[in-house]
Amino acid sequence: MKRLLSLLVISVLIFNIFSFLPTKAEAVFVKDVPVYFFRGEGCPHCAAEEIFLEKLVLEKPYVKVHDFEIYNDKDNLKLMREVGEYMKINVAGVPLTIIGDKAISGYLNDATTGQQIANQVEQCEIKDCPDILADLGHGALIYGQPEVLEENKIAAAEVDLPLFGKLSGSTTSLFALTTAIAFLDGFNPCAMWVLLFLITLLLGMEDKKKRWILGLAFIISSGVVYYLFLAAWLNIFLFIGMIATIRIIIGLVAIGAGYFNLKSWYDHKTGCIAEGSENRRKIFDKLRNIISRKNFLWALAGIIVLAAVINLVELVCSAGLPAIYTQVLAMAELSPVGYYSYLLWYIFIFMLDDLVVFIIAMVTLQAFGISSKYALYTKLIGGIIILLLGILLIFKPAWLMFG
Amino acid sequence: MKVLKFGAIWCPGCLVMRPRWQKIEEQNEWLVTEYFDIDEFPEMKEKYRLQEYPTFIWLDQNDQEIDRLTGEVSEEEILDLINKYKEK
Repeated sequence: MKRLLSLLVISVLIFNIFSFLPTKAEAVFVKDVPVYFFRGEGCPHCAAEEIFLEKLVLEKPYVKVHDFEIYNDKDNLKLMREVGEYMKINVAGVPLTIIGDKAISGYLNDATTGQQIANQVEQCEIKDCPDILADLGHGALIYGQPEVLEENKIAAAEVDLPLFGKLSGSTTSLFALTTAIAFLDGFNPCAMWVLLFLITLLLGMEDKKKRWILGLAFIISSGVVYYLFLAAWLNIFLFIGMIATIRIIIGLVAIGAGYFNLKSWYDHKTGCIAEGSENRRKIFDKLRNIISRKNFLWALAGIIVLAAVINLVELVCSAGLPAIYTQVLAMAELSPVGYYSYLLWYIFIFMLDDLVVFIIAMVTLQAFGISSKYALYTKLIGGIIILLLGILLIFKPAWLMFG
Repeated sequence: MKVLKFGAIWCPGCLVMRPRWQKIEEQNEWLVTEYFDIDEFPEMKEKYRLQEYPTFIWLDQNDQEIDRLTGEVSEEEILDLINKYKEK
């Protein structure tokens, strides 16, 4: 009886012990799975993988991520090449992830490449995977100072905004940056002159309703064309990824644009440049012809087409601001809705001065100009921001990864 | 003394200057001014070497230029020149 009782107690104890054991995924007996993560500072795909690996480490603490930055550390670059030669794989770019004997090149998203990484980690939990870096004789180097990714980078303060989602410290900066660049871009006087032409002509029309419709059609069409242009730039940057040469070129453009704006502010030029009067005259005549059409729908269509054409022609006067902005936006690694919401916000701010000028003119029935002194303030603030962006794009791109 | 004013309807700075001049002209009825829309009078650009708008040129009795202001300027700056060349 005593033996039976002892057996029962021991059985219960063992049962209890097993009931407290972690599940397979959390098993304390599971050996460490080293993940060798070669990445480049400022590379958006690397940043996306880094976030995924952070989550993976939280979920599976036995996954040990060893992080090798190759753009700024030549030793790490050398190590990556050595691994490539050993594994007989092409190591032309980052991110490159080595788990066991498998190399995963690039990173698309959590569902595809992320899943591939997770599957390989699972394989190495079950079977003995080789440790390539240890095999190459770098074990002491790695295990001496394992660099585990930070587990918690979530900013303390977050604001929830519709469309933009939760704005943390870094995304608030992107919001502020978007507003500042869009203001600078919008205050560009060469984007305003056609609207002033139009207002002058509209003020001569008797039909109030038609005045509003034609003016708003012009402003909205201009906004749509500019939005499409920004979206095209963004998609180019998203498609080509973070190529260092492109980033440096955009950085140089930004430094040039920043200098140009600061110089304009310093020179305190408040006048309109006299060049190009002949072309302006031609556009004025075209606008007059369109407005004077008897068929209102034709006039409306004409205004929309003209707004699109003029805005495309005038894109050059934006001094590269859309390219600079969309390059920074592409680095933020947002969702598609996030990207296009930021572009919408940009366009809204960009068109704001046009809207103000138009509405005041329509209400007061007088053409109205925004004083250049506001444009000068914008040039000063915007110039500094663009200049800093340029410097950061070249030297510290990771600081601009707002997402 | 006469003041020539050069501007264009597409130039925001010219629109900003319009009410300032209107006020000055109302307060100084003796003042002779002439406005030229540069798109209507393109030949003026070369004649007066205009590089930006608005430009305001002060002429003496012999139609010789004595001074000019360019860009957005304050009422005070304009009145200073008017008072300075009043007798010219």
